[in-house]
Amino acid sequence: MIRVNNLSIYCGSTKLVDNVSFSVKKGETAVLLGRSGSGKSLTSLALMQLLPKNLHSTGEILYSGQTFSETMRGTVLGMIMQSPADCFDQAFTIGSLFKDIFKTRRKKNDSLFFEKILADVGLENPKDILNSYPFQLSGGMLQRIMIGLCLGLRTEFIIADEPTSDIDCLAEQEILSLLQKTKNQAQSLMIITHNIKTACTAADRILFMHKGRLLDDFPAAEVHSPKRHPILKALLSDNAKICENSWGVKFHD
Amino acid sequence: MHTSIPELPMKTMPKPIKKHSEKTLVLLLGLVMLLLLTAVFAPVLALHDPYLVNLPQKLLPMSSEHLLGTDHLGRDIFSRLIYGTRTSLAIILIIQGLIMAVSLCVGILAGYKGGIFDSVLMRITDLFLALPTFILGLFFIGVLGVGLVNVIVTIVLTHWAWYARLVRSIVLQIKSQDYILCAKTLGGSDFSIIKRHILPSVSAQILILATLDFGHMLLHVAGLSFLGLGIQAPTAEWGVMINDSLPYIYTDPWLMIIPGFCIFIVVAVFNSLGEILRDTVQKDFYPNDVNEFSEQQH
Repeated sequence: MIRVNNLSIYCGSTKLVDNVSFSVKKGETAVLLGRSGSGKSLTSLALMQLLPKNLHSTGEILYSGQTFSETMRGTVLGMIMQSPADCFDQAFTIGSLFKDIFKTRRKKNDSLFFEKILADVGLENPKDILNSYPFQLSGGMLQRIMIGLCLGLRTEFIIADEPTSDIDCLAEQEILSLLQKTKNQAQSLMIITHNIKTACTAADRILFMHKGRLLDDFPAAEVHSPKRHPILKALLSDNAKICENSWGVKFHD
Repeated sequence: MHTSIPELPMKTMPKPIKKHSEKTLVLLLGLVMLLLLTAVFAPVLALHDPYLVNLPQKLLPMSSEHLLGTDHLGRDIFSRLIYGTRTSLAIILIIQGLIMAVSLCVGILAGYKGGIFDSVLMRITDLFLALPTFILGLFFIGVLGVGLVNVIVTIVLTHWAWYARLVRSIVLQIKSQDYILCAKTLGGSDFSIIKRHILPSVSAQILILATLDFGHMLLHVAGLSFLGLGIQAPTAEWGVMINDSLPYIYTDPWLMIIPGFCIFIVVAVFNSLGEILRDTVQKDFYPNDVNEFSEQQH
């Protein structure tokens, strides 16, 4: 569905992302894994053709065999951004923003449709939420609203940039299961994260980036294979030590 | 060992915001309303025709028939003041409207699009900003000629650049916000993003500047009229009235003082109102402890 060939991103003459190539098939969930500063978010912005003006990219990105056009955003491409609290204009209610987004995309402009979107992502009292301003809602609720928007737009490809970074690890599971709904709608999903556990839980395939380069690309089931890149192996073993449950206890909700 | 935390030097504290009472705001808004009503109901409020020349009754003192006396052509000064309110306010509103329209177009295009648009438009803006406003105004009047329309065009041309610069800087701030990027990712067109997210914020701040600038514009219009380069006699306008009364400054100074006082009142009212609006908006960007500091000072 998306094919990236030799993507490089530059700031002046400094190369920030170096010759990255990968593809994501229809209905597949790929996780772009890497430490902070490895170039994951820049790659995602390049996929959306929304790089800052001081950066430029080379290489080729094909969307179902076609080159990018502005009309693809919101129809073919959708994005769930990292900080949901900053992603909504605080001057407008959620309902007003929904109307604006769906009006420009010529989707159903119907309050019942909006309420269904919110209900599908597990939000209670959707009517109240539609009448609320973003600053009246929590970060978790806003994250769910963002996911609902992307699901409602039924874009073919969704990029989720650190969708679980602002929420606790228990709510993280709920968010990941919501994102898995994309499979039901045959949407491709790319999750950008530095969290290895998220990657192993959610991914069909994992793309490992480090210092702007794509070092490994493998099915999630093969994460512990000896063929993995040494840097990834080091990262996995460090993570295992930190997350080791040495008390042998389990959380009960 | 106990160490005390040193007190923050006073000079590093942000300047306290002056608190304005509600009574001041109500008074100012009341005066603005009075001016607007005077302008709207001028034909009803004026006791005489402001353009009726009556030479036998020239330079009369205040009386029950002519509340503020008559001018050198026997015209009722009170009626000319009332109609002058209409003329002055209408001209300023037209000028402000045109300035806002031009500056919003230029500023939003430069700020949002950036690149070559920004470079070219800002260089043109710099050109207009490089010269003193009044000198530039005299130049345009010299080129275009005198008259009401030319005064409007001149003042718009000499003032749009300041507003365009401010609009551009506000747009640059807003453009960098995450919700603008989010709107783009969800398929928002440039036009819809500008209309929905940028224009309301920019317009609100420009309106505050326009209110602050109202008095300055009035002085500009009156100044050009006073020099005989702006609105021409016999139009009832305060600057024209001051210009007409120049030969009588020693014998009948009230002919100049009365319209000058009207200009003073209007400039003071709009300047004060603009400052209150500006301080009210800026208060949102200051932390609460700064306002508490202000309370302690007052």
